[in-house]
Amino acid sequence: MLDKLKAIVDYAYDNIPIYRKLYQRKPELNSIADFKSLPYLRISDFMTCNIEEVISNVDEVATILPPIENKTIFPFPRLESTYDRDMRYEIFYYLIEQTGIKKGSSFVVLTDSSHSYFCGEIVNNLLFYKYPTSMIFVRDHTVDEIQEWVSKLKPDCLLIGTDKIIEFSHWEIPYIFTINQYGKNLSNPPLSPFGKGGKFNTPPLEKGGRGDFRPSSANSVSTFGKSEIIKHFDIYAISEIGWVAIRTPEGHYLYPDDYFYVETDPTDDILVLTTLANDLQPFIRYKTSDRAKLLNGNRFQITYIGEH
Amino acid sequence: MILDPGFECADQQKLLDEVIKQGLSSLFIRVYDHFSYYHWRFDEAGVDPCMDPMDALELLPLMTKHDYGMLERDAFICANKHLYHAETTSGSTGRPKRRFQSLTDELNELKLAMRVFAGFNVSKDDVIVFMDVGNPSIYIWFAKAFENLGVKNTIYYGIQSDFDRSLNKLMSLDPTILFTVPSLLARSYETILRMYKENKDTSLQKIIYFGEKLDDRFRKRIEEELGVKIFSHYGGTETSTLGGECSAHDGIHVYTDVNMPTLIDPKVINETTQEGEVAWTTMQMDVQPVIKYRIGDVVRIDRAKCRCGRTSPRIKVIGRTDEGFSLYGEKFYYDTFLNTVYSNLNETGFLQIILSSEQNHDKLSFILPEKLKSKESEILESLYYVNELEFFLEEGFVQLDVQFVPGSHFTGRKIPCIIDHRVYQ
Repeated sequence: MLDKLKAIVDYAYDNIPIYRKLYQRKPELNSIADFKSLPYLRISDFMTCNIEEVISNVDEVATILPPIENKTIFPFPRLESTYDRDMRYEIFYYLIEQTGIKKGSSFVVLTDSSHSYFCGEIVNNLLFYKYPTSMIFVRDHTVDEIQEWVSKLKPDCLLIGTDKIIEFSHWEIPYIFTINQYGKNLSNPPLSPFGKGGKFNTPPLEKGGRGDFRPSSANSVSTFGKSEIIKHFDIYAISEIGWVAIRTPEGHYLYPDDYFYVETDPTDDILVLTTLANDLQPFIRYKTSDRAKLLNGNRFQITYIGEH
Repeated sequence: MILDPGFECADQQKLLDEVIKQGLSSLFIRVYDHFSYYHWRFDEAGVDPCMDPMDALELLPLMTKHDYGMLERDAFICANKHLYHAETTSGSTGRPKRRFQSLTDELNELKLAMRVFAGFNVSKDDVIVFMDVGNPSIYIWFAKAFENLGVKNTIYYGIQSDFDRSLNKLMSLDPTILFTVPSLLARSYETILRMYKENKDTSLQKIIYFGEKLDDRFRKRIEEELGVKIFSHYGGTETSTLGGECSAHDGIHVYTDVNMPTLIDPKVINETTQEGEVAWTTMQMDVQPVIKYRIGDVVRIDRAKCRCGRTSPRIKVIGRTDEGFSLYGEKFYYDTFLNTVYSNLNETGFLQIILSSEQNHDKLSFILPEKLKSKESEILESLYYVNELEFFLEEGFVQLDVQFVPGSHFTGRKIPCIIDHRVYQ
């Protein structure tokens, strides 16, 4: 890991002005402790930069990952080279693999005008990996109307990319995916992150914050057909980085450790991410707005998602 | 439908004097300050950005796809924190050609798309299904334009090359409008036709296509067999939406208050109609506008008032300059393939591309000098990874073929770079 971290720090310092501003001189990393002594990268550091100062090479910009929601407090879109885009696809593949769903399972993605571009990228990835996928644009539909459209498509998996649909009664779809709904686990039968009888308590829903996929009312708990076994996966994503981890029905978020080095700030439990496979706009010790507890292995438990 | 007298059925001379000239002047002053490319071009042509805009437009040189690449860096830096989105194509030099957009661009383009879609006489009760094989981002944008027109039900329907399986839920959705690209429609047409023959009680009324030309004979066949009206949306990656058909189906209305066409060496057909290669000037594009940009279409422009009441000029695309072609709505350029073949070999040489239709896919044949035969596997490998082509190959929508011919094939006579035998073109 040290070699990977050293490589990304050296690369960033040599090629990206924001890191030269932040570090002042080239860091010498001889241990993980040296890495952990590097200053955090914060949103405020980006606020004072122009766009060409936050990437390695303007000519390599190939794609822009749309933000999760149209509004974001991060001042730039997620910029990617073709290599970065390929890595993002690989991360997506990793996340899908953790779910155990069959190859070729069909998806329906529900979205709205605020979240549609980000959800469109998810559709793009699903189609790339040969999961037949349709996307329904939710407007002033009633839940029943949307359910009717979904039932016409009879998907194996449903991805909720809108905050307009909060009731899924009797939809009878075995696999549900959400984005940044850390406080909600619809899996039936429910499983705690530590297995049966575990001590973890799902935190209450908190209003506001990034993504806004959560229901506006904490009382709007979804219900499913009683006899159905539901598996609920929640994708943890950040507009400026992309998708990072997936929560399995067991309750913890799994992330690919070939692509991310994950820490938390011991003073406030804020999740700190380092991207290991980005060449255009790597994030090194990026202090997110989200809180988490690190678990054994490549797992963490989100306890709060803040505003981005 | 009520048309806006200020634009849709305005007197064209009045529109030119009161709207277009102002739009051009403002564009010229803005780009001269912000783009080193335009600064150079204006100075070289002796154009003062504050001079009469029509004279300036006349004097300015035509812009090529190669020139377009020179805008990208300035556009990106200028957009800075307003950068919102990027459209890319395969690019003419092997690197993706990029159009950067701000949120202002998104909103301006939505406004124009709404004007175009209004010409399709959509109703708020329509069910619009966007059918495609890959990235849905352009359809998201279309869906937003339809939403602004009051349409409630829009669904992106992603399909794969196994059409019988992929399309089996289309009947359940029962769209009133199917929105897709001609090549995909052509590939899936037998399946679609069979499904509609087996299900008589369906609601399909219109098909809207974009991204490619639709062969007139194929169009007529679809209209007759499916009993639908067909409409065309016209635009390009670098220009965004340019226009669309109306219910009179007599050409594509282009909106000159937003995008100004210039014909290169126009040929006069009659009092109101001219023909030639078209170059576009985009007046409302915020981050990366173009001036007299050659998108590669040869068109016929008719400036007579349309039966629908619109006074905006109507164009018919009658051909393409031979530097590019489209696969499933994705644009590819001859130079991309030429550079791909030869850059890894550290050589220069000849290439001819022949496109043809097979039963369920397009075939892309590369004709190369026989001296390269020993490097066939390297060539195939590098072609495989051309931007966006990989997906079509993996999905079985496109098949590659390399043929080696004697060098005299290329030197004995002038041969076209691209020959397109596909029937739906």
